[in-house]
Amino acid sequence: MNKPLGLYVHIPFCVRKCLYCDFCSYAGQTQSVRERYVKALSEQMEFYAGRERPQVDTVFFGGGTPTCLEPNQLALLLEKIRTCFALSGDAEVTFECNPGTADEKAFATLRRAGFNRVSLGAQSFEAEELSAIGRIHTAPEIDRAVQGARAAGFERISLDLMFGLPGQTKASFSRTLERALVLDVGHLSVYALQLEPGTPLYDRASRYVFPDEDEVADLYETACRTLGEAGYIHYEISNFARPGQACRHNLKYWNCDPYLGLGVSAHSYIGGRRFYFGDGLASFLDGDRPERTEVELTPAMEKRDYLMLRLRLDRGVCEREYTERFGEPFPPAFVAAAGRLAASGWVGTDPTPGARRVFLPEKSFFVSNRILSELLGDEKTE
Amino acid sequence: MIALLRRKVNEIALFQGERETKIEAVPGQGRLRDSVDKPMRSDYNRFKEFKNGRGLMTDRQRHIRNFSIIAHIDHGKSTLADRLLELTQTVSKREMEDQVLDNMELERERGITIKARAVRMKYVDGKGEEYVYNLIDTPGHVDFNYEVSRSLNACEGALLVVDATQGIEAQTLANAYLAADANLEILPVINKIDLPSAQVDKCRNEIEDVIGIPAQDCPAVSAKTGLNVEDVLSHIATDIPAPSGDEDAPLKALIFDSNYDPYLGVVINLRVMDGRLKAGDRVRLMSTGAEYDVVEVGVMEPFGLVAVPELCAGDVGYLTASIKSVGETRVGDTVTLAANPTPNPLPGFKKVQPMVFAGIYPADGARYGDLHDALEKLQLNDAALHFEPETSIALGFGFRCGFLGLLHMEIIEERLEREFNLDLITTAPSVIYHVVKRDKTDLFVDNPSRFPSPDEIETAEEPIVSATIITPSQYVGSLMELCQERRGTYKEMKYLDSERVELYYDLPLNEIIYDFFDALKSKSRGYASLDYELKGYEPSKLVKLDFLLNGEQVDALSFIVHEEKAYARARKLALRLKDNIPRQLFEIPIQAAVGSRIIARETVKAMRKDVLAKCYGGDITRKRKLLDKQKEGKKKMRQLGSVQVSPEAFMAILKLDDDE
Repeated sequence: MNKPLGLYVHIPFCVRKCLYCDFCSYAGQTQSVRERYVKALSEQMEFYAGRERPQVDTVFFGGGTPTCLEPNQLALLLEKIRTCFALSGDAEVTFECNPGTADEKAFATLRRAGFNRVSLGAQSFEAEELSAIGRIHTAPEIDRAVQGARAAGFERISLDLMFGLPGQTKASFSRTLERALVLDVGHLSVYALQLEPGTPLYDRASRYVFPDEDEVADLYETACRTLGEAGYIHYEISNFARPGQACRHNLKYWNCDPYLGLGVSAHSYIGGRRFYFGDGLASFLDGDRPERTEVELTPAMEKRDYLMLRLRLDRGVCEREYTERFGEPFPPAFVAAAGRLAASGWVGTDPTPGARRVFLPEKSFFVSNRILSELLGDEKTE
Repeated sequence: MIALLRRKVNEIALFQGERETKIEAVPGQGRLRDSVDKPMRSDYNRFKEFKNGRGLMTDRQRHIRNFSIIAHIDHGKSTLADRLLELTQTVSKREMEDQVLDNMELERERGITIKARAVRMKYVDGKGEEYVYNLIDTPGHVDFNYEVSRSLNACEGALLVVDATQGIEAQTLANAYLAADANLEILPVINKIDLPSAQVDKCRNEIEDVIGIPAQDCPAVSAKTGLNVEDVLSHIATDIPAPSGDEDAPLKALIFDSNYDPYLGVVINLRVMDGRLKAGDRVRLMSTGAEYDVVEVGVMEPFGLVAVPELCAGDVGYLTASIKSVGETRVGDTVTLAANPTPNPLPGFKKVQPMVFAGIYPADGARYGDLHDALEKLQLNDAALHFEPETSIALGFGFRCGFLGLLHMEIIEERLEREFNLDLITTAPSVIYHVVKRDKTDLFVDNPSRFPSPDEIETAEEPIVSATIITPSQYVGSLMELCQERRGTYKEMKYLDSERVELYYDLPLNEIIYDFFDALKSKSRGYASLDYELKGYEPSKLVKLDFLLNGEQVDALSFIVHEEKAYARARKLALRLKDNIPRQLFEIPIQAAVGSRIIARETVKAMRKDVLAKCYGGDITRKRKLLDKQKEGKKKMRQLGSVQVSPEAFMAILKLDDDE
């Protein structure tokens, strides 16, 4: 039962690095570097596809800012994917896009090339918040980007929003949510800002006023309520979608389905192995692209990863699927912990015989780390 | 002005019933002398020889000086020792590093001396006479007074270092008393004269008036720059008596310290009083009767031990005899030859009693065994450290440890953490309470969780200390307030001069260990100094304060407090619990109780955010690491009732700080 692959392509270029960003991206790279990178990606595609032309049913160009490449470079890469892999006819093909980096013409080119989903990094519709975190675009540009993508024929559009930003209030975040709702997109990712060491925002944190833990939790509840009322399904901790609009590519991560990540810093989970490529652009361009692994996966770790990731989804884990995958029922300690937490409402259970299910209700999402550590903390991992 | 030394010496005399002569200082004459026309102190050496029934000293002895340096903390004792070593070329400039004698990392870092240590140097005077100087370094802090006494008993003299910018401080006095008690010649050394605020003449007068020893022509130096330190060396030769003792009498040597060396076994530091000692001798430790064959004798050089053929009466040195544990050697004991024992062993020292107790637990319960080994190892070199196993519901298996004082406790904790790489949880320090229950059972309670409930107690007593505070006069008001607030009983106040005051208070020891020293320093901008000694036990209205988290009592948080203080302390600790207990999935009520009465409450709100928002691009390593970290943290978590608290948070809760 070889499941089709998800294919992730990392484009590590940005016009400017945002102040909170600790992902792998490089600002101010020359045209020739970008060309060499496209070529390097093509080489990787050939190498990893081999002669088998594996089945691929989702493609995701992420970054960085994929639209820092010329539309025809992206088109070329997608064409290369079609050559190397067996891309299904109904594949979901997404690219991430900074609203300041694409115009209607670019959207049209990409749509024609076969992209069918756009993920726009909107983050906020408040000018002060956008500038506080160093975004290069304005709120009107978000509106224009959505309109442009629509005009070019994109039916599936997602917006990324952030909360917990410096100076953000319930009122300002509500305004952002309202603006997003007006755009009537099918999918919204709503992320809490995480201050990462090494980022400018982290280093200068004392200069900003961030909402505190309770205020951030209030903002999250605001998003849950507002988007729920607007008909979005809260299908993952940070993701909301209209029915049928969930991101199939990202679902592979949370379902522990196989995916291949190409490009610098990209992660793969394929054939029961997790590996990734290094961050260094120069060595990558020079053809030095070793697969790195942090740890060899043990069966116990695989089980734990699976539970941990699946529990990010509203539907949680199903014992039947678990048994199909691992050939054994839920670990007893997990079941016991779930029972304990269910008594206080932190965990939901569905006792349907043969399809026992454990999931986190929405109120548990924002404290999910703690609940996961209760659920999985007693497992023997080795 | 009446010299305080007299009062002090009389007290000691009364207490010990040993001394018949009363020594008083005669200001103006500036001489410490017996009040009933006994020999002047310059004759003291002969007097001592006479008392010992001995004749004149040998020429070798005439060229030996055994002395200690005593001082209030930070008055420059270790710096002076460094300069002496340098000037006598015992340590070359190249090898010189600060605080040569303080070779414990902790000592250097904190600028304090913890362990007594001896070192030998050579001095050639102006006439070309060569002397052997044995310097026995001593700690300055009140916690380690016992170490000072031990060292002093091996000497004939002491350099009393006084900071010319500070004048006499509480421990200057305390140490001077100890030296006088040990019949030592005290040579004052005024230090830090290079500083602009130095007041040398004032300092000389103060030494004469307050301590009652001559100081007009004593050396005034800067140990830091080396200025006039030569004078100290020449004064040692002229002012400090040479040792006496009969080289041909049966061996009698005082153990003033011992430490454990992994290669040599126990290294006994000793002062030979009578007789001779060499490798191959069979010696007997007189208090235990244990006998050993001496492997090596020698002297202490700054960078190690140097073997010599023989140690004779008057010498300071060491012996090794393949002794396995410091426990077999008792400081203060007399070493003699098995074949020809001395008929008069030395009186020995009182065993030191710990005054402050705390539970020490490994942060990781699995390291209980390591903690036990570490404590045993520290005890090898620190007879004052006591410990016995104890169990806490909250903290698991650990040890109830007894210390000389708070500094001693802090040092032991730090050494356990650094030298043995242990993470510790230490409960709030406590003293020993004496309780008589209604059923007439008599209890000494060193662990608050074992303190009986209010209705079981007939009487409760707590240890009281006599405290001496020396302070610039402008702080007297606020320090008296502090003492009053800490349940002190005012005894006496004396002006040392127009600007400095000596305050006497009786204070409960449990108030002293509750951050008294820091409060004293902050209320006097660091100028006040403190010394104290145990006075005895007095009845007190003591109650046990308990804390409940989520309705369950946490044994490790209980402490004993005076009834009147219970409410304020309860509120303060409840608030600190609230601030330090991490938010959990549920709300946590905090209650403070005396018996069944709740006297303070707080609430820890439920946690609302603990999430990893994004798993970007299929990178799940971060998520996995976070979970692993939580799991690792969870292992260390202490279950306080139904509440989990990290060791760090627990320490923050128990940390003492200023009441204000």
